[in-house]
Amino acid sequence: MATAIPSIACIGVIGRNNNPLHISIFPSYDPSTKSFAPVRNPLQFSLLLSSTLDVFELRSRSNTTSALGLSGDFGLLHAVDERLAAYGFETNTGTKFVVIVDMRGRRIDGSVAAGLVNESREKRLGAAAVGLREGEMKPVFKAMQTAYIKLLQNPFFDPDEHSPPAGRGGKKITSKRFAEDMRRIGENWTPGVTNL
Amino acid sequence: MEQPFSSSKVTVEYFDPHDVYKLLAPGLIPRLPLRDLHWQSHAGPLRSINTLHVELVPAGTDSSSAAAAVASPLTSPNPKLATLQRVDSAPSRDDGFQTASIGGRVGASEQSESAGQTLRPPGAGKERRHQIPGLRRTPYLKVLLVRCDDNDTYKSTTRSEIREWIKTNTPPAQGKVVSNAENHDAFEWLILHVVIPNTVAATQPRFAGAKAPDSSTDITKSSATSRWRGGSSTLLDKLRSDFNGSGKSAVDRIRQIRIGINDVPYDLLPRVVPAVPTGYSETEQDSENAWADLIGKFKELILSSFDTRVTQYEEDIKEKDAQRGLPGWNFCTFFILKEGLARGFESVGLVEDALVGYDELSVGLDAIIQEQAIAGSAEAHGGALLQYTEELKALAQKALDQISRGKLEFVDEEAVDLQSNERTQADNFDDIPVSSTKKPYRELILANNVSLFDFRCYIFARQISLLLRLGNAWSTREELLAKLREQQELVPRGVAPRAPPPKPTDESENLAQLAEICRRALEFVPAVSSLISKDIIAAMTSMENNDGSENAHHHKSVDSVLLEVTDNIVASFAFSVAQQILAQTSTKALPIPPSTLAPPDGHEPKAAIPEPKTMMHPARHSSLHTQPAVRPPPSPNVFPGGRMGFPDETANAQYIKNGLEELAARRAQLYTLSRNILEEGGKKRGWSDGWSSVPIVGESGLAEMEDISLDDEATDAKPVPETESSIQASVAGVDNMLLRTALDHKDDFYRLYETLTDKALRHYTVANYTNSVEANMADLAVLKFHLCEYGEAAFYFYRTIPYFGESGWSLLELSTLVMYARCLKELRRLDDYANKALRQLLTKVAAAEKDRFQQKSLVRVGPKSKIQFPEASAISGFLADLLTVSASLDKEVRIPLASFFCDVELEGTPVYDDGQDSFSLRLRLRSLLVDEFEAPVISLRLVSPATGGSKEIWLQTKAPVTLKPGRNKVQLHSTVMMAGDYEADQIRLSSSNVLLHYERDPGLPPDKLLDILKSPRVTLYQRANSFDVRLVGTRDVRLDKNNTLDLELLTGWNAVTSCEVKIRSATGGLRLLMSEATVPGPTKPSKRADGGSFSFGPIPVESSVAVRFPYTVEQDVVNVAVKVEVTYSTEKGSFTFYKTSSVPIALALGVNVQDVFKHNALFSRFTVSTVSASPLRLFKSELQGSEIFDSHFGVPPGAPVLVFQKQPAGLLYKITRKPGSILGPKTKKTMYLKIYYNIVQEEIEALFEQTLRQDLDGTPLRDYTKLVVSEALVRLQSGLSGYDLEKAAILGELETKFLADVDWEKRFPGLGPAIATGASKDSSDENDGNSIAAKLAAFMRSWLHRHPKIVVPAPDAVTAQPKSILIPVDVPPVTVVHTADIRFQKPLQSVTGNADDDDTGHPTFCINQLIPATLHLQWTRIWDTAGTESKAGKGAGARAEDLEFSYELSAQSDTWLLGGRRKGHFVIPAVATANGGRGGLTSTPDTEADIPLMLIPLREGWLSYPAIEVREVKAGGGGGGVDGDEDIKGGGHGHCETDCRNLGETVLVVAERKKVTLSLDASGLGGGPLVLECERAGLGGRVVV
Repeated sequence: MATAIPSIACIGVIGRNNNPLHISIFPSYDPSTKSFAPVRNPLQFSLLLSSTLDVFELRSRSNTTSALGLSGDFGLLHAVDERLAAYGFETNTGTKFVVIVDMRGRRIDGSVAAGLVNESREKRLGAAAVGLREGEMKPVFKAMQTAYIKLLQNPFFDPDEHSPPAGRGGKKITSKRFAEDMRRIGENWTPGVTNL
Repeated sequence: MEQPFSSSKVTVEYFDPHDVYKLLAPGLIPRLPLRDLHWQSHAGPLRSINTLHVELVPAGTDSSSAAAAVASPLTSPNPKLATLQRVDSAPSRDDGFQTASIGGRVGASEQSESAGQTLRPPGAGKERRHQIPGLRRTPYLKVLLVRCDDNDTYKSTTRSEIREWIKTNTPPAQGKVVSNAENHDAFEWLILHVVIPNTVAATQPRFAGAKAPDSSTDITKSSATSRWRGGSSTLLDKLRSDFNGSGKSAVDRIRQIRIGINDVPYDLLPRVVPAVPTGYSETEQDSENAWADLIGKFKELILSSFDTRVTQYEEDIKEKDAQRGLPGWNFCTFFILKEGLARGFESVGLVEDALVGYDELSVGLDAIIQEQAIAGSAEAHGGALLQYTEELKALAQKALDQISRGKLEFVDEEAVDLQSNERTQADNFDDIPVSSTKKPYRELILANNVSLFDFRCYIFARQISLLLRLGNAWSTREELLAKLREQQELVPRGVAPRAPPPKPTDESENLAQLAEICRRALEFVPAVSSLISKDIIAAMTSMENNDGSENAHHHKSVDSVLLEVTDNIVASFAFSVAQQILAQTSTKALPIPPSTLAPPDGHEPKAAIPEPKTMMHPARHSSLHTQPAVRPPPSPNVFPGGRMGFPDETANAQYIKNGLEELAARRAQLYTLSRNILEEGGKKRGWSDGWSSVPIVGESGLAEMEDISLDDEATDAKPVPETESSIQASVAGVDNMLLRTALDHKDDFYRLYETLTDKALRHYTVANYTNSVEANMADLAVLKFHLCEYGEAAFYFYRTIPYFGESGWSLLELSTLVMYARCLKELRRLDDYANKALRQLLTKVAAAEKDRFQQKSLVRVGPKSKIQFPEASAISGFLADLLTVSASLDKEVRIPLASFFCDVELEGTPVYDDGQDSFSLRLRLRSLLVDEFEAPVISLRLVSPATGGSKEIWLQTKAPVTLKPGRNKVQLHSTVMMAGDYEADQIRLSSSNVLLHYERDPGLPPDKLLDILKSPRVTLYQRANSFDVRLVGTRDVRLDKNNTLDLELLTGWNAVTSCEVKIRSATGGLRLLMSEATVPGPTKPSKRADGGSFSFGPIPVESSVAVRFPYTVEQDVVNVAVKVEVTYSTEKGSFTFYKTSSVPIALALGVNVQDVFKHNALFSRFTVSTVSASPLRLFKSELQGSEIFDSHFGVPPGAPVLVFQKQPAGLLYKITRKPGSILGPKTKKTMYLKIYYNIVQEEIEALFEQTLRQDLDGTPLRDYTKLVVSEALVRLQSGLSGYDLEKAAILGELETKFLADVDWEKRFPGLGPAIATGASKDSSDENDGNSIAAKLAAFMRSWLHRHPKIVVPAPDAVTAQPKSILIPVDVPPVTVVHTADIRFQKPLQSVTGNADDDDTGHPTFCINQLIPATLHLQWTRIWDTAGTESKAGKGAGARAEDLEFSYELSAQSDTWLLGGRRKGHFVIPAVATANGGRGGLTSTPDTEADIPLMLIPLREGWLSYPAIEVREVKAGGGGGGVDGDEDIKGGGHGHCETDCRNLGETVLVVAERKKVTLSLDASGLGGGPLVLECERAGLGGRVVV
């Protein structure tokens, strides 16, 4: 039988004002129907993302007091149920990246596993056996941050428009490239991938 | 480690052959647990152990522990110990606690009641063979309790007994190398001498010196005293010397405790008092010291043995770890070893160190598994773990069976069946899924017979229990307290304890540690879930491998069933773990508020929702499942009783605690986790929590992301039709009772769901997780909505929606709004429905649509993405709802226009309709609504920014408009014409009771944020043929009357059928005298209304009607303005026309008069000057005579006279009194000067206008004539200087150069690019920037080019229509005019001859000639025209009286010598009237006076005549003769004028010489000629020299 390995179910970028900047949802493999479908609907994902904000707030508060939090990686924010878990990262400017991982989002079949490069295959198998370690999410956040920085470097992108310095709300990110980046990250990540 | 109650315990074994323990216990137990121990660890700082619980175990009571202790065979108790065992209390105590020391059953806390007998590990013996340490729990200290009453007994029996005990119990030699295994069980021993009162021993002093209670110097002291006291040494000394060893390193192992006499039960008290009283009696202090000493010794020894053990373990671990790379290395072994160390730490209370140990093990396990997974084979390294867990396999199989059977039967029945069958197992798995005592894990591990799942569970369980201890969890503490109590209860009754028992203090839990438990659980659950599924799959695969006969089809169905079962098991397990952790971490210190969110009309009180345990049997359906309701908690250790009451006790709990929020949050997350699991389960059964049916509204960028295929495989994986849904809806494998019950029935499901959500919500509230609170609230709301409980749903929605809206979660907001709206609709709360929900909903939808639209416009480049509006149907229809609902509301629903529309813009410029005076504007707007919006009326307001918005024009649609989603164009019409610049400032769309409005402040720059009316400016102009109104000041100005204004109505192309004109003053102080208005033309008003309104009947095309009305102004103003409002109707409709016309009313010329009165005539000289810079052209003038006066003028000039600013014109009129005219009171005396003139500037303006009109006529720009002309005139007025005008007036032509540098384009803003009426223009020409303004400017430039000079023709008097001004001229009344004349007497002796002949009037006299003359005084009263009405009494009085005047002749003394009567008085008689009087109006020769004079000129030259002054002599005092001149007004009789006829005349006076002889050399006086001789002419008469 195939083994299930984690995959990304949802990527959320949340702005400084706790406003959603970008949400990408990725389908998970549903063994009963043998098809890919998102495990939740967008609303539920939104709700999940919004409820992680509390953890961000709490962590960043405790990070500033204990002066630990330079890395921005907040690790596991919230285990949603036995399948989904939310991991978080916060940039220095308060933009938050949330990745909701589906622990059983992908299957490794023999065919897939055989096609993989030896090293990554090992890692995948290993990860499949152990489950997800927190360090596994680092490449994802790094890639997301890179994409976000690329976005910020776009002279036509006005960060203040998306997270007004004073106030609430903000516009969503409409950059195609950013969305494409997010999509790439979300699709390509599996445990053990170090470079996205 | 600040918690006082650690569950860690150290076993202390006591051997009590003399049965003194019961005497000792009352003193000893209260002093336990040990406090403040300090241990120097090998690899770390000094650890301090606050409390160390000591478990006192009588030796030999438990065979196994005793066996372990003495290393004797397990099955046979030490016979020696058995013989020594004289205490009968020991067996009765059972092994309730002591079984804890059984190998594999570690920790009393994990003890299960039934485990004692049944679970006695059969392989306990085998452990020994494994030689694996760490499995046993052996005493750290062995105590021998000795009772020895006197020295004799000691010598005879006690000493040997002790020796025996030491031999059997202690390692052979202290210094010898002991085996590792023994070191793992290292212990120390102690002999405790219990002294019973009334014995010899009791009388002995404690110390030989009886003076040094200092325990630290104890040993030396005692040895010293022994030498002192020789044979009479005490028992204690004896013991010491016998058993303490001799070496330097020897440890003092002897202690003595004296039991007070009161503490000994009477029956035990020796009756006989020894005969040798030493007089020693122990004080309280001594006793205390002894106890302290004992306890100290306990501590020291325990730590010592502990230290030995730890050292040994660490060494072993190091060794094993080093062997890791070697083949055959077994992780399990390593695990057991390391765990042994951890347990050691735990037992002495170093829980943190223990936890670290377990954490390291957990990581190690991961590493092993990873390696194993990579290697692919289980046996590769680190020992094999089982591929699957037997229990899970059994569970799965059972579930599979159920399902396969359940296909034929009812699932319900099956479930019931299962429940009854599998009770025990289910319970086990159900409630405490993770417990280290559930299975003999350690044995399994040791036997390499453990699955990964079990392994993990074990580690986790251990971690949790350690953390619970660290956290001082309520359950742990309770257990400890119970133990303490139990210990204390064992103390014999009736004996008062020596020390007060410690109060069971309600110490607080360490909430942070509890939170840590939850955190670990949250990490554990996902990890272990995947483990379980893998486990089961592995199990099943192995099974299938065993019997591989199944065909593929069956395999497939089994596969899916298996998946289902796996899911169920996983869910159940995860759920159970969550519940377990929740139960374990529940604490009183966590104040969870009662459900504050109870909906206002909630019919079920949820304030006291019980714990989920009881919730598994919902009250509503209690009849279904009654039996387990009172089921006792299966595991009292984990779930101590009494927990149920905790929600009620929260009131007095401390609220602010460290880690409180953290714990609450974690617990809430656990609740959420449980709920999500439940929800997933429900989803399979088709019981939605509502979210799946929630409409997803209006989010861009999500829908497009959905269909992403990651693997190639995915493409051909078609969704399998749901044939197996009946199978999937099975609860097989769900073992958690709560979950199972919930999944059995839909109502239970929802109830549990709600409960869990509510609990999570409340925990989040405590944790201050606002976002999560909102999220949960949304969950609840959606659930309620789904369950059609609209009232509560609306309540929750109401609370959540603003939150999501504020922080921009528009997707959530929209969807919830949709539901909220439906709720309100269902609830029939129409007002809220319309005003809150629908309005907000539509607004938000529109906003989202706008975003989407903007986004689309941004990314137009690139591949065209087809973003469809997702589920537009979800919101369609709401608009119609809004309209219908609002119709029933009382109040108007006002919604900002920007909510529903964007890109609202005026398109183009006003479009004027042909042949009528209406115009229209095109409004472009983009509807963001999903539905079409039916707007009966759209109106737009234009206001003029200049005059403060007083002028406004409303434009409206002609017919109802349907606004489709997307772009719309609306034509707005207005029949109002009011030329000028405008800004659009209001837009209103109304439909039924809904008003969409937009307002802005005119004059402010457009709001950048809203894309509404960014260019609101509109310019309206009048076309050439449109209806117009012209205000003209009258051409004939009369200064003495109210002047009139003429208002001309020019119909233009309108065939007016009826017309109403309203005229109002627009200038302050201007009063229009409408009552005196006239209509001079042929068209007469049909109805005359007052208040300045006139109604007219039909007026033909291209005609005009004038209204003339007088006006007054309060103060001088230059211009007056009049507001005109004309409402007229033609066949094409009715129109309104507003105009404010202003006209200059200032006088263009000024006239001054100078009057010269003569005896018969009055000469008036009028000086006409221009007021403005412009020259005047004076055509003619006339002075109209009055009834009593006539005017005479000379010859008028042939051409009009130009009057310049510095060159006024003078007009001289002679006025005479009409002969025979009689002055009556009503006589009109005023004369009128009428001047015909023209202002050159006006002429020029008219010329300009005329020329422009001519040139524009016939061009396509004809329509703009009025605009161009008015603009040109404005430029003209400001551009022409006075100099220009003068030049033009003189030269007769005007250069137009001054207009050349005007930027004409800017003068015509807002006209737009196209000529609306110019049909002949090709469109391309119009679009390339060739706007109207440019065309007009081009025209102006070419016009200026063609007309470099404008000829200003000199008007001829005939054709010109000069303006006129009529100035009233009053002849000033003068009472009396005197005429004084000095006449020389004739014949005049003049030098030149007879003066009479001299027409030139220059009589010539000689100096000193005596000239006789006469002063002739005349007077007249004809100019006394003062009317009685004006000067009442005076004039009449003056005429009626005699007036006395005086005259005086005066001359400069060096010119004339005057002779004769120079001064005199005369009287003018009163005018003869009816009532007397003698004189007439004018003097007659009779009444004239001739006064002779003699004049002598005194010097040569032209000498003027002597001056004559005539002055009225005032009646009161006659003194006025000298001072004042003739102009002074007399005492009240008006003034008099004196006409001195000689005033300008002169007399030539020459020297009287006939002949003069001169010498021409300059020998005269001063170099002048020298007069040699002169001869006088004799003039005869007297010569005065």
